[in-house]
Amino acid sequence: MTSITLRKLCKTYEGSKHPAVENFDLEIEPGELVAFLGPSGCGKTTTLKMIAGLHSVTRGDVLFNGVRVNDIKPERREVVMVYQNYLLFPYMNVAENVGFGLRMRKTPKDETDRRVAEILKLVQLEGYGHRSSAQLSGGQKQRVALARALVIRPKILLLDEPLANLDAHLRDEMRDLILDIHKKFEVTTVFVTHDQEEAVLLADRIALIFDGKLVQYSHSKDFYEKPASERISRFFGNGNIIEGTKAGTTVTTGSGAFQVRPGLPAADGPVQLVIRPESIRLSREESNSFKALILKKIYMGTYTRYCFEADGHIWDTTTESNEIPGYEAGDSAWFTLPQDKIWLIER
Amino acid sequence: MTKRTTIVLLLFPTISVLVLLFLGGLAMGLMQSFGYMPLIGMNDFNIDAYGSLFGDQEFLLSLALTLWISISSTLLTMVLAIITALAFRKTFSGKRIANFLYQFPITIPHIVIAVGTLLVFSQSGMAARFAHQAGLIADQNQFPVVVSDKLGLGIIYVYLWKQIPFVGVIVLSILQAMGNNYEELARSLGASKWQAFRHVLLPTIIPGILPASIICFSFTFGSYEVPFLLGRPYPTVISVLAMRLYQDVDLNARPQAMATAVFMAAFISIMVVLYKRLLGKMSGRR
Ligand SMILES: Nc1ncnc2c1ncn2[C@@H]1O[C@H](COP(=O)(O)OP(=O)(O)O)[C@@H](O)[C@H]1O
Ligand SMILES: [Mg+2]
Repeated sequence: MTSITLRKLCKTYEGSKHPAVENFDLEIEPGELVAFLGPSGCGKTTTLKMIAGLHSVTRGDVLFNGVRVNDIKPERREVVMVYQNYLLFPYMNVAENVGFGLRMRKTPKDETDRRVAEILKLVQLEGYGHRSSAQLSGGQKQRVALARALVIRPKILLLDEPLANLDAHLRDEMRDLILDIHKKFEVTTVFVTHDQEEAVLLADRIALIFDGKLVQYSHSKDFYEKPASERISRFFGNGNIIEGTKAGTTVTTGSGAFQVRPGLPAADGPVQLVIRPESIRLSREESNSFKALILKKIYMGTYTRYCFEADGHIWDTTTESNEIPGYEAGDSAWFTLPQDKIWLIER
Repeated sequence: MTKRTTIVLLLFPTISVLVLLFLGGLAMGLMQSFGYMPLIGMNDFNIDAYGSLFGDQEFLLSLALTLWISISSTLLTMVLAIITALAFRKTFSGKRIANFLYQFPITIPHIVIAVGTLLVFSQSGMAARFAHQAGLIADQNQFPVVVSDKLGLGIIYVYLWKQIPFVGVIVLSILQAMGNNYEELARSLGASKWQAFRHVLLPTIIPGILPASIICFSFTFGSYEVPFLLGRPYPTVISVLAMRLYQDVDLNARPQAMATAVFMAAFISIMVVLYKRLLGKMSGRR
């Protein structure tokens, strides 16, 4: 298994003033599944291509198992990239597409045939070898692309938005397939997406990228509970960000003073109080409770969402539908911000 | 007015001219090639002209020369067009100027290029004179024969000059449409640069330039003015031979001239049909 290290990795495209990738420092463990997450144009594909050796590195290093590979040609890296739009060779049938990498390695024909058949079975396309790629659905094309990458047993698998072009139901299927494959092949995998939910569902760790900069690299849970900035918090769908001032374990905001747990990294002074909608409780408790007016109630099936207002702040909360004590818009209710669920961002 | 009438009216001028001049002319030529020329008292249909054609040493030599010139210039055009297009895909300084010079010949008539070639590269041309003056050769006659030469090199040269940018632009647009991703993908799957070219770029380019190569081939096969200016009198290419027979004062040579012309037309038509079949097969595989 192979680890990937990026050290102060930079890429500025020729003729461009702004770097597409700026000073990435990142360590991916052998066999880990990491997601590169960020809005379109933030530099995800560029980083993948530098790992694959398809784009040159402007500055910094790429290391596999601690060995610098900057100058190693792409065909020698044993890193395979799978593209969002499948890129099946149109003049080859499915089996020829899948066997491409083996043919380039001059693998004997009978071994090639055997391995192609094996891998097609794995991606549930047994017997599709003679189909032309034009006859396949999007999901099938993606599976052929995946098989074509896996058949050469790469050390590193790079998946560039593999689910972006698929319908919702196919996306779940494909996601499971990717997880299965990752487990089975124990291949170090980097997965690119602009969808935070997808990243959370798939990855061990997430590297969040904004504007060519790696802004946070940690386990997915941390992005929800310990976002490093307001923008990160919002990217993960958290609207409850309230300005306040921290003094010790007390944060004073327009909606009142709240107790936070000791040991939060933010220093005393101006902070932003962050709490996830699902962490807010609809109840009156000993501390951190306040009364507010419910502005909106949105039934979402399993969950019900309330928007409420206290001192000019609009708060957002979701509770499980079967737990609600039956509030309606216009009611006043007690809300509690559990002390251990509050996170602070330094301003 | 119905849609149908509109279409008929729109097409009428072109089609009528085509039918009258082209098909009419073809029919006349065909009749004459079969020895039917009532004007000079030849009233029987026969295939004598065709018989004498294939028994004629000059015609066979002409055919060989013509095939050599059109096949070699078409193949060379394809190869060089692909190479230059690959170069133009990269960014380099002076690319705009290089590109202008590259595409410049597209706008210039063949005959102008032929005359230019004659003025520069013949043994009495500028290049020979310059080489002589510079002391590179003792006599202008020592300048290598590249115009009016046995292999038709001067003729091939002119065709290349004109055709490479024409096909090159097509290749370039194919390359641009396919982008870099396929090639990169092939590299990451383990293909060397050469393998990526051979197994990914070429199979995409070739079907795209086959139509252009048909045009190049049929054009060079039938072209008249370039070999007329830059070729030897004997053997000459088929079109020049046909013209010479046609202009013969002896009207008895007319059927043979027409047979030569009909042969050319038939040959090109057959080539086009074969090529189209091939093309259909290749795209059927997609
Ligand atoms: N080949 C290229 N030449 C010049 N600029 C590029 C090239 N590829 C990408 N870029 C630019 O680099 C930035 C990052 O692009 P990319 O890595 O494709 O983003 P992402 O994959 O996150 O959407 C973008 O601003 C994009 O316009
Ligand atoms: Mg991208």
